[in-house]
Amino acid sequence: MKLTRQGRKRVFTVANGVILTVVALLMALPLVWMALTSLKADPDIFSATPLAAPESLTLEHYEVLFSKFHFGQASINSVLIAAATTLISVLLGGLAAYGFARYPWRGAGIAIAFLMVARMVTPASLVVPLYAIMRTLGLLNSVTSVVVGVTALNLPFVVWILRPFFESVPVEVEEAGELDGLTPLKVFFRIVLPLAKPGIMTAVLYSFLAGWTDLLFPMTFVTAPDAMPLTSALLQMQTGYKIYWGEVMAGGIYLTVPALIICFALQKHLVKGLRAGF
Amino acid sequence: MAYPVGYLLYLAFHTYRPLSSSEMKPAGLQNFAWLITDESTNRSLAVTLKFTVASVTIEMVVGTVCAVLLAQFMLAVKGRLGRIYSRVLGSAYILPFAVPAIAGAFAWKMVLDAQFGPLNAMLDRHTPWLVDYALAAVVVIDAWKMTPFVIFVVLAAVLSIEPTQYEAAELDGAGAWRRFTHITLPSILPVVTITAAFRAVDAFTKVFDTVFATTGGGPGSDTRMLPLMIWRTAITNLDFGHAAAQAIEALLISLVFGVALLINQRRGRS
Repeated sequence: MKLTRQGRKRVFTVANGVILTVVALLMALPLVWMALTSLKADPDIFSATPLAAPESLTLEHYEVLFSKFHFGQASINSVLIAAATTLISVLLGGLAAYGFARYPWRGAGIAIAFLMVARMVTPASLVVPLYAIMRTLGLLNSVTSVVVGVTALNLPFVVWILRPFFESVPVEVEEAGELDGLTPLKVFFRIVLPLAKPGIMTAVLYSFLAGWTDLLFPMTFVTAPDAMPLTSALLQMQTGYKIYWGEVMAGGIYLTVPALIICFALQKHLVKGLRAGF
Repeated sequence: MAYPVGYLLYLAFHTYRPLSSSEMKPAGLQNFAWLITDESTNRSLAVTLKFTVASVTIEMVVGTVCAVLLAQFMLAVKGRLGRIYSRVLGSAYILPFAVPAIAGAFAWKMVLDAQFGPLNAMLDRHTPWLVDYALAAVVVIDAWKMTPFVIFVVLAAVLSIEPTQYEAAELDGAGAWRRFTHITLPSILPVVTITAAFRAVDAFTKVFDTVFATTGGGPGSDTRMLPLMIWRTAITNLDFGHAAAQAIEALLISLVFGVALLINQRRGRS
């Protein structure tokens, strides 16, 4: 039997859907397993048959996170780091990007090229000078040191994302604002920022993620438990002879869920940011 | 940002080991001479390059194929249910990308665990994947995390192709394969190339959390990527001069690559 052109197309589409579904499931698998393991009781995790259905589900690993691994304080630190990074990056990055977009100056080309270079620096190599600087300033073991590190790394990216958005704001609108007697700074905050909102949202999303997920700076700068964010608290859990799989998986889920919620809520901006990279 | 980079340059020309003496001594080119002859740095560089080529290749191939299939699926499905499903699929691919690297690394460590991991249970064996196939495992984890990035970028490129082009080709009697090789592929090629270049620079410079949490650079030095190497030299051995020299080597390599990329992009535009 020969299929019609329409029929062939339909078969192709269905096959497509099946392949794509399999890929999506494969991608979700490690996370699903992590979630499942975090809810299993220890005998079910450390068992010879990990694929067997667990006898019961429990939240005890999540409780241990708070009672033994400082996750309460770490949550506060993570929120602080993410919030501060976002605020500083978007504010400074926004002003810088606006400057680049509106006030061309000699050397702007070099500055932009430098932004490009900054994105190619290995974060690990920034740790070297920053560690020495933080030591001298006595800022090791503080949330501030992490914020400074992450922000330094994140700022060039924010400027990079925001510049095209500001360029797309029509100059006439701003001129109208200036005619009404607004200062340039007021024009920026009252007129330009609201118009460039999609770009700002993208910058906020990526800055938040940068602060929330960063491991490099806290693991280097912070050794005191009370200044640790979630990422390095999670890393601490695997030292020693025994890996506390249940607790580690619970911690992983705990760290992941806020990032997932924000990414899905701002999905549109996430994808936009990916493409704004170049 | 400029200050740390400048300070990094300064450090590279000095000997600074706070462990043995708190003094910072000028070292001229000593650190760089050491760099060229140091075997573990060279080995680390080779491993990093291998990792970059392997993971970026996988990400580009899988990502581009998925993007093309997803675009076809999105355009072909009919009815509300189909449309909703294609949206769900599209969102599902965000998942690995949205997961913090350290959490993803631990999830994979569990999956690949020799004793209690589901993969070994499924295959009925006890392979310590992260030891026996360390580099391959790290490549797979990175590909898992970053393929979504490629999917989304390429998907946008595919969806921006004018549908009339396909209709015209179909009228001319071009089959699906010909339409793919003659319209789709040439249209998305510039985006694919530049995405690959960006991914390569990123993979080369930003592979850290995953390796640190899964293999720790081992076994031996099999997965000791350059960023990890720099970090170890500076923070574990407290040898800032050498670490700065390594950092500058890494920067120069990505810079050469980046400048080539920029020139290429300029030429493509004019």
